[in-house]
Amino acid sequence: MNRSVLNALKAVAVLVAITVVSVGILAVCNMFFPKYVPKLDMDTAKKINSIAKACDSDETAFKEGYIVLLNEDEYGVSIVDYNKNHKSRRAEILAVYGEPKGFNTGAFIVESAAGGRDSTVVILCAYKDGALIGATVKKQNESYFEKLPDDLFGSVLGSVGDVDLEANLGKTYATISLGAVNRALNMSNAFASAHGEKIREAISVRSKSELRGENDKKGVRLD
Amino acid sequence: MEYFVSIVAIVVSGVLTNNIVLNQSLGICPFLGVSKKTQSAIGMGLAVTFVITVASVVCWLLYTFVLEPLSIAYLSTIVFILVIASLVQLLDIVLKKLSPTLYSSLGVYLALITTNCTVLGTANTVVSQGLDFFSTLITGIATGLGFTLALILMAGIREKQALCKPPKPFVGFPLALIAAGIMAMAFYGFNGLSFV
Amino acid sequence: MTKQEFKKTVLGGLTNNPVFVLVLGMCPTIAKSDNIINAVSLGLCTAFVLVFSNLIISLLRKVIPDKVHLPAYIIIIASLVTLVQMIVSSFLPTLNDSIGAFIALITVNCIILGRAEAFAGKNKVLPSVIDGLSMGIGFIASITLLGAVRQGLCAALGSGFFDKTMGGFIVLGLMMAVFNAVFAAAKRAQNDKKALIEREAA
Repeated sequence: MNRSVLNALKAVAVLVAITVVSVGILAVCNMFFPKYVPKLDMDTAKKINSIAKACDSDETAFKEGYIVLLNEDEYGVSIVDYNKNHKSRRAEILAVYGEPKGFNTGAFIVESAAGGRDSTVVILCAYKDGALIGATVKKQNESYFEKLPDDLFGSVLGSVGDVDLEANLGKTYATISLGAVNRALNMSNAFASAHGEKIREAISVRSKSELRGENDKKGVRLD
Repeated sequence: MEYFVSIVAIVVSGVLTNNIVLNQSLGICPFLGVSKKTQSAIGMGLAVTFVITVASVVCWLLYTFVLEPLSIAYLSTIVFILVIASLVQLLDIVLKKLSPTLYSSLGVYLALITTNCTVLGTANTVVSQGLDFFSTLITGIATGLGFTLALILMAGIREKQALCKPPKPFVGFPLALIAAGIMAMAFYGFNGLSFV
Repeated sequence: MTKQEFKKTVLGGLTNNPVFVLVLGMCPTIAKSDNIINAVSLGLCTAFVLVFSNLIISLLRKVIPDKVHLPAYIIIIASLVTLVQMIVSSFLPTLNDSIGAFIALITVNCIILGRAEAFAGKNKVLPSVIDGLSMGIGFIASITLLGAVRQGLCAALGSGFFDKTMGGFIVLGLMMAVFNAVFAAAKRAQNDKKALIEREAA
């Protein structure tokens, strides 16, 4: 084989070697690095307490288990699969929280997200008895979010299916950001209607065990 | 009808309200480097528009049909940049044959389109916003046109700036940056358009 | 490596400052210097990629054929950036929200490819790493300084201008002018001192 072909092969071989090594290292990292696991933190608990009041003090709500993060096994739905099947909605469900005790026992909260103008917009939607009782924005990093009215969700409380925030709020001059909130809200509503039953059952199981725990503490026996 | 409005919104935001240079502050290196003459600015703008459009579409296709289904989305940075580099190489060969004048006026800046933040930035945006194919195409074109507009405006200003004598420390980039800042202020006014 | 060259490399971050002198890597500098935390984080990520890409490219400089050096550099840099993306999204999710998009753009940061071409591809490992550190620290210092100035101006004069792109352009332009003036004055002082020494020697 002449020189130039040999050189060309050497060049390709070096490139392929570098690529394989790099991709290999990254694949290994991808397997071992922890994926983002949603956790209930004080901030989220505060926000949830503001849309679906569990008890008067945010601290108590967070520490005493008035607001809990529900495990996928408890309500038997795989969030990852649900997100995959509903990709056309261009939004994702991130987590489900529940209120096993307190003022709004039986309410559950869905955390959903959608890509906005400059960042991902994450919202929390609270449902009780099958309808939306409150929603709030958990976090966003949009440039024009201040243009949106303070009361974003007032018009859609009590709704069950898809809603159109823009129709209700009119021109906000932050259309893309509002679109992201809308998609996250609709995704959340759809998830709530589809799996609300199972989630409520999971919460009532938790409520019963909570009650049992409290009664055990008090020394009451309820046989 | 809704869809048509959203496409118009994409065009208006790409060119005016969310201009890639003056609002998203990407693509500043070539913006400051190439914009000394209006002729070369137009040529560079069109070349970059072509690359952004084709790269966004190809990257979107690769992401939607290859990377995500196979759960290797973490390789998107590597794949995208290789697509862009190959595209620029292809453009190099094609331009040399089709338009030697444009090729020579671009010079080394043609190869530098690979490291232009606008291309990779737009590719990442269309993927993270989960747009459909046609919206992706329009986003690419609109972003490129916005870049071209900013470049042409800047070239006009810099041509005039070359004729005056600012204080020594301001010569060159500082003055260009301040001019860019004032232009960005003007473009910020476009936020009054309701398609933001 | 001679002492002169070594000193030149170590001080490269200052005399050849990537932001104020070489005018490279403008995009993250203007976009994410709106507050100090963003600036420092993005600066650290960029410096990390810069140092390690210089290291790896210098190690492999004899092995990579000249014809394909550009794609090879690009793959190495892109892989390092993907690694940083993974680390940040797994362990620092709050950071991911504010600068996530710009971490991906470190791949096309002119500083990294520029240093790889100009230095790491032609020099031994230790000087390349020092160059990477020097340039990296220079970049972090510049973007943090810009971030501090912008955040200070925002606090003093009200937000809505200096934390947007337009404010970034103007502040950077003014700071560059100041840097130029200071640098020119320093150079003049150095030349005067040299001329004085030569005159004394004559």
